[in-house]
This record gives sequence, C-alpha cells and structure tokens, in this order.
Amino acid sequence: MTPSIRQHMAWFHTWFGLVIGFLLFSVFWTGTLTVFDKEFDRWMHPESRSVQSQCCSLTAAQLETVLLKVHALAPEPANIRFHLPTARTPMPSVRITEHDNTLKTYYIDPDTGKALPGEYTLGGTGFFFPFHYKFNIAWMNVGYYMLGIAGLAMLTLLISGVVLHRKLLAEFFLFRPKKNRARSLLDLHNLSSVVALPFYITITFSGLLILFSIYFQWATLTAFDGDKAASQKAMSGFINLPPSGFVENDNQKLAALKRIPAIVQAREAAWSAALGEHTTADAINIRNLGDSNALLEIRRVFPERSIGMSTHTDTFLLHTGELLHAHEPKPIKSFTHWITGLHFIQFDHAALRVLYAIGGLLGCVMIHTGFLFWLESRRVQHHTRKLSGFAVVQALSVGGTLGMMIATAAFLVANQLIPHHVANRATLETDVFYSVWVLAIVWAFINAVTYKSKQWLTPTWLFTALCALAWLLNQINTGGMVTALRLQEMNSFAIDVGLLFMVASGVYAARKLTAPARVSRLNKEAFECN
Amino acid sequence: MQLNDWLLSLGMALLYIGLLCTALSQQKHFRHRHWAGRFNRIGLRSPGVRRLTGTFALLGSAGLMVFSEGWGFGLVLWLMAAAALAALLAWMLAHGN
Repeated sequence: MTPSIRQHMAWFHTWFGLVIGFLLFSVFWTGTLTVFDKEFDRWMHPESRSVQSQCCSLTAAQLETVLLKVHALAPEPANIRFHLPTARTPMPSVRITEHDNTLKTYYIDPDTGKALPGEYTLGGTGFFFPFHYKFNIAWMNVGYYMLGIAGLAMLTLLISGVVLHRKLLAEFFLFRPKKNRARSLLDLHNLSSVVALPFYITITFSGLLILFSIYFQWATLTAFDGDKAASQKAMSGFINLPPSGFVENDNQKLAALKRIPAIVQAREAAWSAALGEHTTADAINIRNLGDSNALLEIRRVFPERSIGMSTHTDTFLLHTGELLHAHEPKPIKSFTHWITGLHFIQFDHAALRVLYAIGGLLGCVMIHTGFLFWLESRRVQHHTRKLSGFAVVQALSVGGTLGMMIATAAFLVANQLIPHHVANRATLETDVFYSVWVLAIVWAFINAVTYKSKQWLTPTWLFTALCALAWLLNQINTGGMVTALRLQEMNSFAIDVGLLFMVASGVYAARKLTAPARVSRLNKEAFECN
Repeated sequence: MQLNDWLLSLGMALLYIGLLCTALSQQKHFRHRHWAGRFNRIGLRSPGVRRLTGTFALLGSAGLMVFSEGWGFGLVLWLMAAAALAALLAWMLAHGN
C-alpha cells in the first residue's frame, strides 16, 4: 500500500525537524533576544547610560561638537558612520573604520564632546544580532547559507505541520497537561505552533527575503546587465566614487565637517516637506574624509511611526556640498521595505516589541516541545530494543536548547564579572559564551551515555541560577532597577525585568520537572534507564 | 492615559473576550467548568451564538486597534496579541477544565 501524503509529511516533519531543529532553536532564541538588542547594549555597557542627549535629535551645535570630536579621535579615517540618537539609544554612537580595516566604536556626549569607547562589550547588537542571521560565522558566507537552509526548512516544516495537524481549527485552544506526557507535549507543540503560525510564516519568509541578494546575487545583477554599481545605486542609493588621490588639508577637512549640520538640516526639511510630516535623519556616513572625492551620505532608514523601513539616502560631495544623488525608493520597493521592517523590528512601539518577544519565545517552545515529543514517543521503544538514538537525541536536545540558554545567561554573568581594564574584554565575553555552550553539550552527552538521571533538571536549575546571578550582579554593580527607575533608564530596566521573568519561568519549569509523573511500569524503567 | 491607550486597552479586552467565546464554542471547551455556566447565564448557550459573538468581538478588536494605531501597526499588533492571548487562554482553560 502506498503511503498517503500525510504519512510522507509526517516522516519529513519528524526527521527534518529533528536535524534542523537545533539550528532553528538558536535562530529563534537569539532572534528573541535581538528584539531588545539596544536594551542589552545599555544593560551590558553601564557607562553608556551616563551619556544621554535630548531624545531624539541633535541641534546643529551638538552635531558639530560630535563631528569635531570624531575628527580628533581619528584624523584620517576610511569611513565614519554616525547613528543619531533615538528613543532606544538616546546618545549618538559612531563607528570609525581605519584604512587598515580596524574598527572603533564610541558613544559621544553631544554637549561636552566626551567620548566613551564602545569596545567594552559586543552587547546585543554586536553579538546576539549577528548570531541570529549568520551564527557569527563570516567565512565564505557559510553562516548566511546555514541560515538560508534553516529558513527554507522552517517554511516546509510549517507547511508539513499544517498538513499533518488534522484538527487545526477544532483543537486550536487545546492543551491537556494532565494527560500522559507524550500527549501533553504534542498538545503544547501544536498549540505553540498554531497560535503564532502567521508570525512564523511572516518572520521566516521576511528573513529569507532580506538575505535574498546574498543567496541569488545574479538575480539583481542580471537586471542591471552585471553592473554592480548601477544596481547598488538603484537599490539602496549607494554611490561608489573612487578616491581622487588629491588630499585635503586639515583646515579644509574641518571646514567640511562644520558644514555638515547645515546640510543635514536642509535635507530633513526637504524630506519633511515631501512626506508631509516631521522627518529626521537617523544615520550619517562619511567616506574618505581626507580625499577631495569624500562622500557624505545622509540616511533615513527607520522612520519613527512606521513599520516599513526606508532607504532615503542623499549623497553629497563633502568638500563642495554638491548633491550627487537623492535616492527615493521606487514604489515597488515599499512592499519589500514593509516586509523587512516587520522583521527588523526597529520601530518605536514598546507593546509590539514585547509581543514579538512572546512570539519568539513561543517559537522556542514549539521547537523544544518538538524534540521532547520525539523523545517521549520513543522512550519505551528505544529502551526495550536497547537503541542508542534516544540518548544521542536527548543529549543534543539538552545541549542545543537549554545549553544555548545557559550560555546566554553565562555571557551576561561574564559581562558583569570581568573587570573593565582586561584586554580584549569583549572577546573574553564571547569566549565564555561558546565555552559554556560546548561544556553543556559535553555534559549532556556524558550524562546520557552514563544513564544519569536529571538530564533536564540540572540544566534548568543552572540556567535559573545564572539568570538570578546576572540580575543580582547588575543590582550590585550599577544600582539596578532602583537606579534605572530613578534615571528613567527604561532600557536596562527592561532587561532586569526579563531576567526576573526567566528566573520565575525556570523555577516553574524545575518544579514541574520534580513533580511525580504518572507513568506505566515499562515507561518507569525507561525513565530510570535514561 | 491618552485616548489611543484607552482604545488599545479596550481592543485587547475585546480580543480576549472574542477568543474566549470562540474557544467555548468548540467541542473540547463547550462545557468548561468555570465558563460554561457564566456564558449560559448571559444567553450564549449554543456553539453558533458563541462563535458569532466571538467573531464580532474579534472584528471589533481589530477595528479598534486599527483605529488607534493605524493600518500597519494595528493589524500586526492584533495578530501578535491574538497569538499571545490564545496561548494564555489555552493554558487557562486547560487548568480550569
């Protein structure tokens, strides 16, 4: 008898989910953390809280102070990129790329010109965010391709899951925690999948769309007869003007920098008039400052009250002030901008950000319960037939899901414990993350092979304890929630609340794990065995 | 609180009620220990009536959110809030059944 389409889908869903689930869990987990990336930046870099400007714009005088400070810090930079203050990052930050490709970041007080080095930590934007889209693997774009494979698998897993789930609408709200363990886990897997299904489809599709130009570079280039410069200009307003080789002197550089605030104000006024609402620039880019062909780009990427992103980019010849190109995205791009904006979540809407984080956590629950259901439904069978697959999958599940969460908590604890003066401090933090993750996986394997019990309980308690420790250390080191409330520093306050939520969830989960389970005699033997 | 915040809160409450009505119109929760009696007392006795009320409440909540937040934010907010509240509701119904 030929297997039905549903049986084919069941096979695909089970085995592809098992293989790719570990990648997907790390993408969902770091994606959830990235919803609050800038909040993590503030939490992990307490000194940056002392640099705060009037939200969310700079006066011409303040911008000039910042620009001159940058010139003092790096007189011959290859590239300077400013991020102007926003509600979530209420101070200007600057990334300076030198000609030897070294990168320096600073937070600058726009009133005093005081500069604070940003290399202290990678924070959320420097670690969680790149982990989310390329697993921090830059070599040969391998990370991007791994993500692409995971994204495609996720879409097919969602579709096969919908085909598999016979009573998708009739059992929409169904969760039976008091049934046997496998049944409860399947209910939880179905529930977490179905309630946020539109979110998963949108977020996966938009993620693939964002990285489309990496996966299919030829697709965009073909439309421009292979002319990369033309495609970049049309797609994002990027103009690649080669250096002239004529070097400007220091006075001319200073004069050009002092002219920038007026140019920015003029462009903001032009955008506001065109769009019919108050519009501000959010990034300024200066390329080859010392060269007479130096370029000034003024960008507006994240409009304040809009989901969609924008690629308004005006490019000037810096030393003459001549407008080279005013980029306005074509109407067809507005669809892509809306979809990518949905994924990037850079809009200023606190309630929606929290709901996105809940959606991300539901995704983590969906993947995790998928593993647990696989294990529970095979526990007795594998025990009876003395198969080793159960132990391997259990070890990978513990290491790949809880291990990742423990590594994240350890990363935050390391951030609080490593002294400021330690060289390569940011690298040390990430080393802690990877070491703890690897140790968790090794521990899970040893535990599984030696048939120790408490495979889930010990890591759960460890995660809870590390989250509590990170929270406690922040209270001791910076004054924590009380100081944050007093200074109206809601970014770090949000992370503290999140840590407390994780502690509460960890305690709840650990208590559930220690509760006596209703299991059959054979199942009980299998429990003791594994 | 501004008018928009009130509308948003009302929208969220209506969304929860809409989901609750829809859940209680389904066979698995139709005779829920805590909620079935209350729903019967206010006249929502049959699955059809509960489903219809639920649909109107869901549409109303979507309308309120779109009115207070605009099309883009309103619809995305409704979708995400529906997911979070549905998960919460399923957990709540499971523990009272």
